[in-house]
Amino acid sequence: MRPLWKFFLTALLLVPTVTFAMQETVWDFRGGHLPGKWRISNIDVPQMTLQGLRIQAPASDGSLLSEADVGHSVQAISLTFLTPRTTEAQFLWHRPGTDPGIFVQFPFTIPASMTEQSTNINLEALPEWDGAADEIGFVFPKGSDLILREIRFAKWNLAERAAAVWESFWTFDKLGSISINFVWGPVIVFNPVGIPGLFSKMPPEGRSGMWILYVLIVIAGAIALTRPYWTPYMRSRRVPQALVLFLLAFGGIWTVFDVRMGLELLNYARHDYDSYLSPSPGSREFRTFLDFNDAVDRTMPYVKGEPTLALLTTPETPIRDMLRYFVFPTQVTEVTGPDPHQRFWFVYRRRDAAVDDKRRLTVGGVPWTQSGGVLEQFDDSSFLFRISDR
Amino acid sequence: MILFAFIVGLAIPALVGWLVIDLLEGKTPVLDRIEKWTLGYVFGVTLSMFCAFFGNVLLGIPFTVMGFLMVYGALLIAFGVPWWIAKNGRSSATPLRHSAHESPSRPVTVALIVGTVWVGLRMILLTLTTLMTPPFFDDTMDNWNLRGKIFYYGKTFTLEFPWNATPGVSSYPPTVPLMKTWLSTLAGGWSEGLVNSIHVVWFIALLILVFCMLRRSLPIAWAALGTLILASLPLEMIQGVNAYADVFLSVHLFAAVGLMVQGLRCDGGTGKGVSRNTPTQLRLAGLAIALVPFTKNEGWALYFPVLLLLFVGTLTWCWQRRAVTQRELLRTAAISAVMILAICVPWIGFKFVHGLAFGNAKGIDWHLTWQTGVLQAIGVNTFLEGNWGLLFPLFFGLLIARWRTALRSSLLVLTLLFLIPYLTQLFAYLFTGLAQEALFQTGYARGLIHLMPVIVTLTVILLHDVLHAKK
Repeated sequence: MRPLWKFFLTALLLVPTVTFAMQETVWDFRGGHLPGKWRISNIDVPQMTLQGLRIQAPASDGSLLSEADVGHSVQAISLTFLTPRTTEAQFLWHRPGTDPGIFVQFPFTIPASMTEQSTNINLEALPEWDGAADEIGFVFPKGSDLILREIRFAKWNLAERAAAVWESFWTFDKLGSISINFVWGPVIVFNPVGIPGLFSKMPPEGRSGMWILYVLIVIAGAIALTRPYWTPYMRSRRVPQALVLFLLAFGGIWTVFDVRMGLELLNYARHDYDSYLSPSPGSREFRTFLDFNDAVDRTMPYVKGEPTLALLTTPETPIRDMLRYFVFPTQVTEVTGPDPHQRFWFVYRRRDAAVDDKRRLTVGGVPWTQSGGVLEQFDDSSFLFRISDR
Repeated sequence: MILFAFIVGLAIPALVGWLVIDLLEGKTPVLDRIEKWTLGYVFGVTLSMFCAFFGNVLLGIPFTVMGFLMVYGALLIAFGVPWWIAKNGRSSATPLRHSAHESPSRPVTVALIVGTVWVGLRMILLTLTTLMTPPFFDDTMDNWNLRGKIFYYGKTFTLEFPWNATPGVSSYPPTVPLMKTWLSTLAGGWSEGLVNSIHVVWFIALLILVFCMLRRSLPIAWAALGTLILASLPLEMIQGVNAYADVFLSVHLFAAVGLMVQGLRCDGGTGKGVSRNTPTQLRLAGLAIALVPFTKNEGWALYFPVLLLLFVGTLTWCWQRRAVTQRELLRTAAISAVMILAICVPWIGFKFVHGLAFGNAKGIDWHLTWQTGVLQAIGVNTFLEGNWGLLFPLFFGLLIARWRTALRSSLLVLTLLFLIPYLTQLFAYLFTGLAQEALFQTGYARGLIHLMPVIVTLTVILLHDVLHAKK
């Protein structure tokens, strides 16, 4: 065996190979168990039930705190609750060595569900998380009534984290309104919890994957610079010059980036085909505008040539300007009250709008138009309405 | 009808542009056939829409088929008749001249083919989605397409929207919207796919011009590499296939400096040190510079002064090197001045008369103070996002490593067109209220799009220089 390969094999064997299996500590509150040492504030005394720990905060916002020594560092937690109502809660933790009573808060949503549903929090993506906490807890808003079933404190091993880095590197964003100004590019996380919804927040909760490429470039540069030392060990003496070596490696690394971003761009096209171009009218969704463009397409044949189109939608919505563009030269009028002069009404995301038994458009039960009819129903809170011709 | 409108709608302005270029070339053709038609399209659209705009504003010529045909008819006569008279004395188009004669090796050829197919696939699919889906991005619906639609339905130019008497976007040149108005008029109806297709054509024109520029001084493999790099940049491609005007501006900027660089190289020497081609290339550069203010507001506010400075510098250098005779120098300067004044005076005058803004459509706070977070935002956009790949580490590295080549050769024009606007914008972002354009990664990225063909061209030429200087 060539001396060079002996060198690498020896180096590999000398590298510490103690692998830590994935560690997970589970606080299971079912069957009346109560792991942790809890103290409460402004909530009713939690009840230990067979389903889990029942927490109620009838009178005011309240909190639940516990010591959090789980014996290992924590990269992510999984919280399992049961609740009949969606609850906006806060996850708290106290950083070791900081002032007592000062907690970091992380808001999260507990979805309404009476069957098991877990909420995962990628803690190591949060700058304030140091890997462990003295205390953890929750803040629940007034009116909360939920059952805590379990908390899982997870830490992944090196191989799993590398796999998460690899998978997140190849996770693609969708084309959004910001994409004309910048694209995030590859974003990496170090555990599987961070991968779903990687691009759902702005900015994404992860590190730029470009760092991996820069590390590879530095390694390539180091190899190129040390060329005089390892060239004698090569079977072929025709080893390119250091600069050429480096640039070839640079080009190869850039190619990895290009393949990754190229696939993302192709994914944009595939997503548009799957969600907008191939479905039939009534089922189409266009990027972040969801069914808006489909609704506009279905509206156009009716309002073409009409002088005005009344718009009834939620305040501070961007669709007003978009609707103005698409239906122009028909003028869009954003109505705020009854208007007998508007012939066509584009009602979008207004749960308080409906058609009464006299076929009038009503808002909050108050008639805003004379009788007419729904021409197109977009969804349960969006439709195109026209008054009857007299 | 859509296809007819697309073909005819692009061909007529391209013909206008081609005639103007041919007249400026005179008896010294300097452009390859494909370059000439590509530049003809680029210049012809801008020039034609300039004439259509002022035909409407000053003479009341409506934006109807007949109205546009009147404008085109006048242009074709104005440029066609002199062309016809002079055509017998002309040389035919010159083939693209390149200095190197290396044929790429088989592995390189295969790699370039694979790269071209890979990049081409993305471009085709993204173009198809643009043509077949509704407009999505803000400025498309707030500015470029909206104004085109308003002009189309109103059959006339207007600064007002029915719902807004003073929209800020009306300060932008109407070139891009008017081109959409023209195509829709020809098609007999507003078609989103049709009006958005012109942006892809500008993108393709840019790629052709970059290839031709690189091909003049590098082997074909390097020219292909540079073109592929430009097309493969994610943000460049997204901008190129969508209905924004930044690639449109960049192709005008690149045309101007590309022609100046060719002029500086003084090809076609007469044997007495005087270049036969330089005055022609510089006259064409003068036309490109003249049209820049009618592209976007940044064209006038940021790039026109720089281009003017570079142009005067180029003329001066050529005169000092005796690459042009005094007669040709004065003739070139006079013709360029006439073209620049003919475009700038009416357009800038119109803006003054109507109180239109000269910057972007938003107000600017010019109070100088350090803006927190801007440097980090710029660093992230340049190096840590998916916009530009590994281009900037390579580009800045090469600028430093080959600074003599970048600053002491004809490439100085490209280098200065990058450095002056880039550093100016950096200063504005770091010290003024324009900081939000960097913090929100809007204006900063667009500024790079404007300069991207220059950056890529410089990168490839300097890279070739590095490798061949070592041999």
